[in-house]
Amino acid sequence: MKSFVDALGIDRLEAGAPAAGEDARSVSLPAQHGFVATRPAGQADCKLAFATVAVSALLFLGAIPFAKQPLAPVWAFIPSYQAALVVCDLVTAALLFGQARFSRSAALFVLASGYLFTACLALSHALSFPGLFAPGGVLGGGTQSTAWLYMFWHAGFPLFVIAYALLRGASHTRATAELGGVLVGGVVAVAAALTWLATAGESALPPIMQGNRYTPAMIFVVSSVWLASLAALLALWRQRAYRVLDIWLMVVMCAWLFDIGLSAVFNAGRFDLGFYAGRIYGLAAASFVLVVLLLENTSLHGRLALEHERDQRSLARHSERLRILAAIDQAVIAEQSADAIAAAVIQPLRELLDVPRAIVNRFDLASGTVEWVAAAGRRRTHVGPGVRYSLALMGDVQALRKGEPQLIDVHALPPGTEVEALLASGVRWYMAMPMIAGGELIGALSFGGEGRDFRAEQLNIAREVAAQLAIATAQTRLLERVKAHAAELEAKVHERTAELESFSYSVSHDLRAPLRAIDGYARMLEEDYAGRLDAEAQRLIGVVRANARRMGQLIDDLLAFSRLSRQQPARARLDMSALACEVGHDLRGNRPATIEVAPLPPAQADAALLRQVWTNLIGNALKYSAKKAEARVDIGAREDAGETVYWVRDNGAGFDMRYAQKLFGVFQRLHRADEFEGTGVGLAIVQRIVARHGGRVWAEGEPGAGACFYFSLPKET
Amino acid sequence: MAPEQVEILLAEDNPEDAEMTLRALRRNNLANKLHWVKDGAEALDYLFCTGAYAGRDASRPPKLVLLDIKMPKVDGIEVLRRLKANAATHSIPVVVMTSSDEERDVFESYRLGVNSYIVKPLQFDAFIETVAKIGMYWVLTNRVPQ
Repeated sequence: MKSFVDALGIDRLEAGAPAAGEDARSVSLPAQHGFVATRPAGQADCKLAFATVAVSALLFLGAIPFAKQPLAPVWAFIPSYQAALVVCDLVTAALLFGQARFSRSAALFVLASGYLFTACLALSHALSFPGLFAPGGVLGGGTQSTAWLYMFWHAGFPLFVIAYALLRGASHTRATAELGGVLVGGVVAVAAALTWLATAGESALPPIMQGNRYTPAMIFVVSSVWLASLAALLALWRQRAYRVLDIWLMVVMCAWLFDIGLSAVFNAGRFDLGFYAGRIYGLAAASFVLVVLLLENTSLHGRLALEHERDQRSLARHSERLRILAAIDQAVIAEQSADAIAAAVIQPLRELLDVPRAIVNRFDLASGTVEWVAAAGRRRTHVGPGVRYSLALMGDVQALRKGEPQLIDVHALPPGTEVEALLASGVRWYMAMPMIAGGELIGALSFGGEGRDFRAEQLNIAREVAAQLAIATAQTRLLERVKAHAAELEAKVHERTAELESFSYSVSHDLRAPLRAIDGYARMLEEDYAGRLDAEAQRLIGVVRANARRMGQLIDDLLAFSRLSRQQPARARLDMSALACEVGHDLRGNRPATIEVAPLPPAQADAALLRQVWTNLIGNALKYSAKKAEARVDIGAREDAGETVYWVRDNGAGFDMRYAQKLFGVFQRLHRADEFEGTGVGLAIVQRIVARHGGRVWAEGEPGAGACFYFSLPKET
Repeated sequence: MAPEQVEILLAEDNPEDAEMTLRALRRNNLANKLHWVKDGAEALDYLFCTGAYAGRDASRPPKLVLLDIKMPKVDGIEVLRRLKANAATHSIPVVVMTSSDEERDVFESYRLGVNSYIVKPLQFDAFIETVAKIGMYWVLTNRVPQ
């Protein structure tokens, strides 16, 4: 027997190798909605937003006293600033449209449209700016056009934000991509209309600029625009359960307020400090949402990739688990032995469990030992018996009996060669999962390695496989018992058959010889002493001989009857009409009887046995009708569902239906021997032959009016 | 009765059957050329000139062997097997006369080359007639290679 230490040495070198699946464990992400638009704002979001607003506010307050301070007109500032703004807004609009389409949110569609609107009007604004691309602006118009476009632009966006805030509260408005199309078209049309109004229709609008300075009408207009932004901020503020997007939109609206304040309220006109500072606020405002969206997108993408990888791994593990379980199932169905199944699955199971070692152990509770059925290490697989060790290594046997897995610390085991071997092969902790079949603890599936932490998934896999292996073991044992029992039964049947055969062989030899002697010597007495025997003596000798003959007939019939149970019917297609006619013709001989045979359906039966049936039934009919003046036997058949019923009817002595059930018993007779000869075996033979073909027999009769005997045979399938 | 005159060897353990057989043959004057052995072993000794029959002339085999199957010591089937397996004796006609009509005995006898298989009739008249016919046919009518 291989020693436990040697056997455990199969993979000593692999100690300490990290488990391949460990990194998969660390990728644990909270299941959350990943989008900026829908993700609830956390404390960190709020703090960052508040800090941004606070810094902006401080800068804004610090800038107010110097807002009117004129600075040098830097013409390049305007186109670069406007271009950046347009690009920022368009990208933001595109991202928001994307999210709106995905989440089918009408609110997001509106917000995206707002960004598109600002992009359009920022473009118009830049194109109309006097002296930038052309002295009077590219779009024509007059001195007021640019200022009015600025007002439309800065009044419009807050309106979109207000609409967003209102729609956002409405529970899940289902918006379609078509809504996006309509909104884009509408926004572009409105932007074009406003551009037209500010340029071609400039004369209809009150003047708000005088040179680079503001007019009094400007006060009213700019107040309205500012109020719109304030209203948007309030609309957002009133929302319950802020989302990340809401928080950053509020920051945007604050920046927007500072922008308008510096560049249209507290400054004096173009190219002073307020003008420049306000525009920087505007650019910052445009960037906040974009930056947050982009950062969020990147992190979402990364998270998605990680989740996908994790899904793939868990899918792979899951399908391997199913594969192993299915393989065991198949093996169980194919009636493979539990040991063969264990040998086949142990290595894939170890890989699935992702441990350095997995073993299927069989318990010998009586001797307190455990034996390996199959064991797998990283490099080698051990199959078959030979490795034994103490049951103490499996933990608390009582708990195992209850189905509780045991976590075993190798250091806590009583020291000995077994423990040394375990430690040398890198097993520091292992789990023993009980295998219970029919309430009996038959073994355990043990697996382990360096660490003491076993995942729920590992335990589940081990539990499933242990249960399957237990079933397989139970089945194997059951199968062995059934086979042994069947063999025993077969042996018994053989023995009985042999006994029966030797019995009937003896009967056929040994019972006949004395009968022959009785008849023979009675006859010799008659022959040799004929002159000295009177009539009474001759009558007495006649009685002796008649009874010897009768006994001979009984023996013959009985042997024929017992032979039937040993003989397997050899079925073939049988022409029943021909058979009945032939038997009837032979039996009738010279008797003055009429035998009518109607066309009979063929049967699937043993020819010799069916001949016996017809012989006995027709013979009976002739015998019991022999005393009638016009003896008549009618043979017929009818086809019922699934069976054919044949009958033999006579007009003879008949019988009392009260005794009908006795007709087919062995040695049962309804007539005295001096009325009709017979041994009472003929119908029992008929009954047994028909039963062996899967059919039934029955009879109808009336004393003095005849009898009809029926037998049925199942139809050919 | 001189051994060389024997034409029928009767192997039969049942004295009543033997007596009835003799009675039947006597009617046809065949009984005085009959030798009766009471079991299979004696039948073999007689046929192969061994044991008590060591002095018998082997060149004068019987014209017919009437063989019962169920006999003490060596049964009829075994006698038949030995007889038919030996070149010197295999042409001696053998008629099995037995009480049983067991299929396996019939099959085995024919497989071993029996010349006839007769089930002894229970009724005396039929028995007498059957034995007489067999004796007449195999002893008087039938010819064997010399």
